[in-house]
Order: sequence, then structure tokens, then C-alpha cells
Amino acid sequence: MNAVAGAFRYLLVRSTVNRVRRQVRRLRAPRYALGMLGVALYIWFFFYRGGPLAGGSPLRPPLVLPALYETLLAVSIGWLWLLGADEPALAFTGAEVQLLFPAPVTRRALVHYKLVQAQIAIGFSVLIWLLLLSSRSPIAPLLKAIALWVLFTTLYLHRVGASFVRVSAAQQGRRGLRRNWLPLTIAGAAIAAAGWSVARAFPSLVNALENGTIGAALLVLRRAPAIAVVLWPFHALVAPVFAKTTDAWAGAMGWSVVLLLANYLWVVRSGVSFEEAAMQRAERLAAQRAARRTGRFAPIKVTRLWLPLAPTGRPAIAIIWKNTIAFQRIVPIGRIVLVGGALALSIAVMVPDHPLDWSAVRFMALFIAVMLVIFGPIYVRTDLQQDMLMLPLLRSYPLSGPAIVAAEMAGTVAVLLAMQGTLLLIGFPELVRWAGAGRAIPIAIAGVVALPAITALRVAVANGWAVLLPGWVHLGPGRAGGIEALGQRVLALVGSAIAHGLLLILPASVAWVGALFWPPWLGNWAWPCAAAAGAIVAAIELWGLSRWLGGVLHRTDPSEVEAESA
Amino acid sequence: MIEVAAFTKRYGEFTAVRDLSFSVAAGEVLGLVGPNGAGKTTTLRSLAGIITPSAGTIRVGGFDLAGEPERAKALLAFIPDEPQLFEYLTVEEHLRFTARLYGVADAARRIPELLGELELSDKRNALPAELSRGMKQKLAIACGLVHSPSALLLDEPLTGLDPAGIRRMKATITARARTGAAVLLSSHLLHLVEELCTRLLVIQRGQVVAIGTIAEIVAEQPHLAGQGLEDIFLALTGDGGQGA
Repeated sequence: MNAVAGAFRYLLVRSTVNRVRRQVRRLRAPRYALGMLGVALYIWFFFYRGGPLAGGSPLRPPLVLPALYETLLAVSIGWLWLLGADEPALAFTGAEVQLLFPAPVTRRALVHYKLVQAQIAIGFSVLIWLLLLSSRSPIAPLLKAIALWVLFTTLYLHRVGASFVRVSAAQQGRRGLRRNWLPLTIAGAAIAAAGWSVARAFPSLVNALENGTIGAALLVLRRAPAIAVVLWPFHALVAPVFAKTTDAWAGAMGWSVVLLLANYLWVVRSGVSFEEAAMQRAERLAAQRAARRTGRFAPIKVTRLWLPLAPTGRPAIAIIWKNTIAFQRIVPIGRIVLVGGALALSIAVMVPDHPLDWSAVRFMALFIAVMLVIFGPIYVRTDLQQDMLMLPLLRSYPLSGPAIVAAEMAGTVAVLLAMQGTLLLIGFPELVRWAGAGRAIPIAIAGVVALPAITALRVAVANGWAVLLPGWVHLGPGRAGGIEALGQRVLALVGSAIAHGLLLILPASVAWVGALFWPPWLGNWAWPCAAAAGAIVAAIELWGLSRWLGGVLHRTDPSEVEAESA
Repeated sequence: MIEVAAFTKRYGEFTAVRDLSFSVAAGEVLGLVGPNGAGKTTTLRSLAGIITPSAGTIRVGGFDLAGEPERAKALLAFIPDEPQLFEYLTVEEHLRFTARLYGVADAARRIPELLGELELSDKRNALPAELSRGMKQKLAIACGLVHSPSALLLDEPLTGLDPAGIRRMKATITARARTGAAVLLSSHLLHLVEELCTRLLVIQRGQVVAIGTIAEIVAEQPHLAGQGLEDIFLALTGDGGQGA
């Protein structure tokens, strides 16, 4: 056993050292050096030099923030149980499968090895969140770091445990369900109770949100007794992070550590034989890595094609066609529509005093349509975020670099616009109710004109990272890591938001300046005119970006991408 | 059909291929051989337009690969040793996708033909994950052949194929050459090279060691007379295939 521990220790240390060395070597490339400079400036400005996150900022009201985090964590864990993949969250590489699985190593030792390995990502997340939360912190950074570590490690363990349950159920059917009745019952009851309570409180929640106070909305939500129970573990984990005194921290840490230990015991004592599923996953990963790609979704099923493809015509259309098929087959659309529909129905049915009141659902549809601008490219990755791994193949096609980039982005934009269009149609009556028929139509048209431009620029940012810094972004259909990689994801999300914001400055300025000069008789119709002016500028930006990124794609050596994303 | 002049590829200080010049005429099968790390794959990838040369020119069908890459690539097919396939497209969809990229007007006729020729008809609706290594290789080959390329670049084309597949693949390569395609084939299987290729290009450490038919190579280096291709290869490359 000591020999095994020693071997694992050696593997972890050497892998980490070599990885750090490679990251440092990468900085010799000008674009990565510039990227690092950008990250350093970004951290310096936001955390130390009067940026929105430095000092006692109004973005961090003491009461709202912990409650918001607790709620978001609860939602992410609920999502994991409802829509997580039926494969172990312990991702073994092909080499690990080949070398460790046949070795005289216990399953528990394998689990421990992966838990320790995850500490690298967790440590980075702790660092990022320490930076985010440390200014004017009433407790010592070390204490906050410990609380964050416990929080992230517990969530990671829970993710692993939940994936084990899903694997067991998928592999053994009813037997697996019977074996895991306790976690399934707890998770099921928590999700049902939370769903029911949210549905009951939805009108008040929407009212609170319409009044612009997230704090009030959270208070409404937490007033429901079932929600308070469901949120308790998350509250227990988040409380030490936001403790105001060392004593309060020490008091809060007790439950936090209990939850950590409970999740640890649940995972290490789990008898789920994850090896086969892990091996299948690793094989898929290796097969894709051999041609350099990785997947985190359920096995792909061949579904009927939505789109026909003529054998002749613009060749770039073939890439849009391919990416649309990829989205159709990789993203669990059916499951998302089913869960979304069930949620919408339950919300509509359970509104007190107004059964089948769809206004809350429509409001949510509008909200999600707008949120898709920011989060859409994170989930719809059937573009260069995935295909950079196939760069040798892309480069062999009789297409120019800009044409490839434009086609890759167009596929994702088309998919996102179809989703946004559907949601806007659902939410339109709510817009009419809110703005009145006279204003709703011009606003909706402005949205229809502006949204594609704004979404396309966001997609361009996501694809731009993949082309410019393939070694820093996760390439492939899935997102990087799990809860343990929250820090990296926040960093990437904010970085993308900044880049997107910069790209929007010019179109927004043109739209705004244009609006000042529209003739007054246009009235509300100035909205779509301004949106059109902004969209034209955004289109010019997109054209320029495609040309530039296409040039970079054309100059990029595929072997560099292969090495960088390995 | 393929003309390479003074092609050089550098990676920083390291020169992978230095001053390589050769040509492949229509209907000719040129065997590219050399020890590991000799620069074979770099050469093939550069010819396919995947890697940008550091110096020199590459022309395909008269089109300069640097100046008119799309027109040059439209004439080419590159079949790598590790097939790159889209995990979410079926066998037939791969061919439809590739046909559209190259504008194959008679794709409806070509695709079933190719599937039959490469024994993939039964797997037309299968995803790459459901295919064996050899079948994936066959699919990559089918994708390469769907637009009837004028120049065929093959990097270790027989990897993963079973004996029947190897025989069929050899027939396919020969047939393509007979119809006028210029074929550049890289392989470590010297008996295959001897059987299929009309000429040989031997490279080592990125430089030409010998080029021509076996008779021409032997004529230039009489001490190789009477030896088999394996011995000739080892004598030419000197290190017995121990290159990096």
C-alpha cells in the first residue's frame, strides 16, 4: 500500500511540475505572454486598484452575497442530479486507465488518487475566490482559504458521489436504483421540495426581481420552509467563508467539516464499480484525443437530420450543417426541453389563486433569452471551441481561414438564435403586458435586430479565445472541470464579458448617437432603427474579426494546438 | 501534378525539412520513405496545406499552395495515419459533408460506390465510435477519394487494415494512379513501397538521401547492387532506422 501511495505521489508531483514547466514555456509565445499580461492587469485593476471588485464595493452587500452563492450552488447541484452525465466524474486519462487499472491498486486508492489530483484545480479556485472575496475581509485570508477549500472539496466530492449514483443506475437499472435509494431519495425530495416552493413563491419572486432587488427576491425564496431546509447544507458550507469574526468562523466550520467528511465517506465507501464506465470514457477520450478531442456528454445517438445538404454550393455551408448536427446529437435537447417544460408547467399550475398563469413563465423565457447571450457559447460549443482539435483536417479543406472561422461561428449563432427566437416568442405577451402594444412591437423588432449582432459578437469572443489561446481554454464539447474548476470558469467568464463589452462599445455608441438624431416622428420606432445601426457596425466588426482570426488560424501550426491542448 | 521546390520547414531552431525538391507526375506513385523523425509527415502535411512552409514553393496542378490555397487543395486529398473523424457524423454523413466541401455534383452516385469499394456499406449509419480502427481508416480514405482527387497524399495508409483491407487498399491506390492521379505515399512497409511505387524518395533528417526508381538509385550507388529494398534503405539511411 505504501508503494502504491509512493507511486501515486511521484506521478502527481512529476505531472504537476511538468505541467507548470510547460505553462511557463508557453509564455515564450508572444500571444500567451500578452494574454498573461492581460490577466495580470485584469486582476490588478479589479482587485487592487479601485475596480468594481476592489475595496468595499456595492457589488458585495454583506447579506445578499452569501445567500446568492448558496442559491447558485444549490441550483448547480440540483442540475447535476437532474441533468448530469451517466459517467463517473472521476476522469481518468487513457494512460491512467492503461497503467493504473491493471495494476495491483484498490478501487479506494484510485478514488483517493483522483481526489488528491483534483486539489490542483481546487487550489486554483480557492486562490481566485480568495482574490474575489478577500478585500476588507474581517477574517484572516488563511481562514477564508480553509473555508473555501472545504466548500470546494465538499462540492467536488458530492459531484463524484452523484455521478457514482448515476453510473450505478445506468449500469444496473433497478438494482442500481435500489442500492442507492438513500441518496436518490434525499436528492429527489430536495429537488421536488425546492421546485414546489419556487413555483409557489414565483409571483412574489418576479415582483421582487422587477423591483430590482435581488436581496428581496432571495428573501422571498428563503422564506419558504422547504427551501430553508434544502439550502441548509449550502448555508453551512458558505457561512465560514463570510464569517465576520474568527470565533464565528470557528463556530461555522464545524458543520462545514461534518459535511465534508460525510461526502468523503459517501464517496470512498461507495461500492460502485466505476472502472468500466471510466474506461469507456477514457477510451472515447483517447480515441478523440488521438484525433484530439474529448467529450463529457452521454453517448451520441444518431438522430434524424433537421437540415438537408446539397452536394454543391458554398462549401462553408457544409461546416454549418456539420455543427448543427453536432449540436443536435451532443446536447441533450430533449432532456432540456422536457425539464424546462415540466418546470414551466409546474410554475404555471402552482401560482396561488391564479391557476395556469403563464406570465411568470413568459418572464422567465425573456430572461433566459437574454442570458443566452452571455452563457450560450459556454454550452453551445459546436464551433471552433470543439473543432480546433481537428485543425489539421480543417486546414486541409479547400476553404480560406476567414471562411472557416465565419462558418464555424455561424453554426453556433444560428443555434443560439433559434433558441432565443423561440424564447422571445414565448415571452412576447409578457413584453406586451409590460410595455403596452404600441411599444412592445418596436422593442421586439429592435431585439430581433440587435440580439443576433450581440450574440454573434459573444460567439466571436468564445471562438477567438480558442484560436488565439488554445492552450488556455478547454477545447472540446464539454466545459472544463466541474465545481472544482469554478475559479477558472469565473475568470474566463469575466474575461469574456470584458472582451464582449469592448466589442459592443462601438455598435452601442453608434446606436445611441443615431438615436439622438432620428426624427421625432419615428417615436418608438427609433428603437429598431438604432438597433439596426448598431447591428451594421457589429456586422463590420464581425467581418474584421473573422478575417483576423482566419489569418491566425491559417498561420497556426496544428502541432502547436495539439501540444497546447494536451 | 505535384511540384515541390526548395521546401524547408523550421520549428524555431530545429529544421525538420531542409531544401526538399521533387515532383510527382500524373499517374505516378512516389514512395516517401525514411526513418522515424525524418520529416515524412511534416512534408505530407505541408503538401496538404496543413503546415505553412518556412521556405520554398509547393504547386499542385499548377496552383501555388501559398498563393491559391483553395484551388490547390481542391485537387488534393490527404489521408493521415491517424484518421480524424467527427464523432457525431455517421459514415455516410462524413462523405456527404466532404462531398459538399469539394462540390461533388454526382455525390449521390459516388458515395454508395465508395462505400461498396471500401466495404463500408453495412456501416453507412454507424458513428465513428462504433467502427474498428481499420474501418475508421477506410472511412478516412473514402473521404479522401470522394472528390476524385488529382493528387493523393497518403501517410501510412495501411495502418490498422486487415489483410483483405490491405489488398483492397493497394488495388485502390493503383487504380487511382491508373486514372491519372499523382500519388505520394509514405510508409515504413518497404515491401508495400516496392510493390506500389514507381519511384522512391528517401529522406533522412529532413534532407533527400536518394530519389528515383530502385534501378536509378542503385545505378548512382553501385555498392547497393543486388540488395533488397530493406538493405538499400538501411544502407542509405545509415543509422539503421534509429533516427529520432
